[in-house]
Amino acid sequence: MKYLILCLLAVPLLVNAETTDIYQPRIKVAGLEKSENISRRYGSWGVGVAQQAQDNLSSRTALNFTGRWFAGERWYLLGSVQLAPFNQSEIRNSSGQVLLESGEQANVLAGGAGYAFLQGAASLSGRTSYPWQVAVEGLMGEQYTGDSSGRYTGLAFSWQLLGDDYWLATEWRVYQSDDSRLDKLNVNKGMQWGISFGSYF
Amino acid sequence: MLVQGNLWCLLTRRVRQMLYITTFCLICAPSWAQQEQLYLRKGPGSAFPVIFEVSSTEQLQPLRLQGEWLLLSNGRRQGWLPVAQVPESSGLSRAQRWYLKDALRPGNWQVQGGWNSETALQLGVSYPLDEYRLAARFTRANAGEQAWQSAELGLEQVFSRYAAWSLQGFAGLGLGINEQGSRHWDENGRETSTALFTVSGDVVWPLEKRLDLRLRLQASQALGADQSAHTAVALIWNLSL
Repeated sequence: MKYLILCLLAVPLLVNAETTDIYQPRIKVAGLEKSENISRRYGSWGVGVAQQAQDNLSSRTALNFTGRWFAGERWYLLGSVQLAPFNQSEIRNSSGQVLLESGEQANVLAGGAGYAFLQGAASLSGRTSYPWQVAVEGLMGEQYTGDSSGRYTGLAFSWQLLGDDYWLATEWRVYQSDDSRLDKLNVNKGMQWGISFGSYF
Repeated sequence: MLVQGNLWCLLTRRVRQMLYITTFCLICAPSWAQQEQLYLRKGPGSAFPVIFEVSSTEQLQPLRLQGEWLLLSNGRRQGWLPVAQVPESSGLSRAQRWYLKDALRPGNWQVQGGWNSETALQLGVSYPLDEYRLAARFTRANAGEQAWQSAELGLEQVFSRYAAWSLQGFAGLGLGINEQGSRHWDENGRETSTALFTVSGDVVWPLEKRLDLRLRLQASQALGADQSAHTAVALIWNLSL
């Protein structure tokens, strides 16, 4: 009888112990768990080189930095910085006045939009293929040449091979600067072709 | 009587067979209807080729989101599918569905860029403010020996919508800066600056969910300098971030 009473007295202690063990609230956090994570791609960046051919000047090599922001399935916004030498020897007018100093640099800061009008898949081996697209790009900005500057306008066609983590592109562009100093010398127009390489962000 | 009995047996057997077939078809039909084919593409766009197809009930692992397209894997192969076509039964968690829905919603900030008939570049940014949008705009023209620019702050509002098109207006105050040689804000080509008032109207044509193209008619009135007025037509690309 006394054992039964002892057991009955001990029961509430056990019950209390269980309830404290059960109450373990879990903190819930909004958003994706690590295992559910979906990476998101906003755009691409890249570097490249281009060969410029310009009226009345020798050809030269330019260095390009580009950024593209994907605005939709086919459209993207485009930003570009281009660094290039402009001329080697100085140009003087008939009275000996220097119109273009030797070794001037032509740097371009431009933005614009691109539209991919052709999309497909390319393969060399037949086993692995890569998506590609051909886009037309319009660029506007400023070209800083020596001490002067002027509005820069460009129209480009770009063939882009899109890897999983990297991309490769070739580009052909016609351009013009509205810098009146260059316009008077008829050295404000040209074309360029180049290759770029980059990744995504 | 014997012939009639055999005929009855034959008929009832045929009827029973028909009943079995009909019942089987009725049971299977919903599951066939639910099993649609999904066409996964090589790239994130509807013009990229279809590389493989899977059943809508197959478990798919989401890997990457680009625009409105999702890169999915079934463990062996990967392909792109529009988020809107990802079925309920594809194995995405509720949190992942919520994330995708939220990611596709255009944000509050808008950036814009374009050029106008005064051979000037235009850049802008805007943010919602009650029923209006607070907008800042910058315009610059540079022809080497003559450059001018203007910066304005004002409010944008949508006036009317027609199908996907809309009509928007802007009114703002700003500053016009005339560099030496330019006759835009000063007829004598002096280096000067002036306060200005600008109004504009945009016809908005949506190109994509986040991108639209705008035809802008714009008028600016200088409040100082030689109080000149300028009108322009501009083509503007506007992106919701």
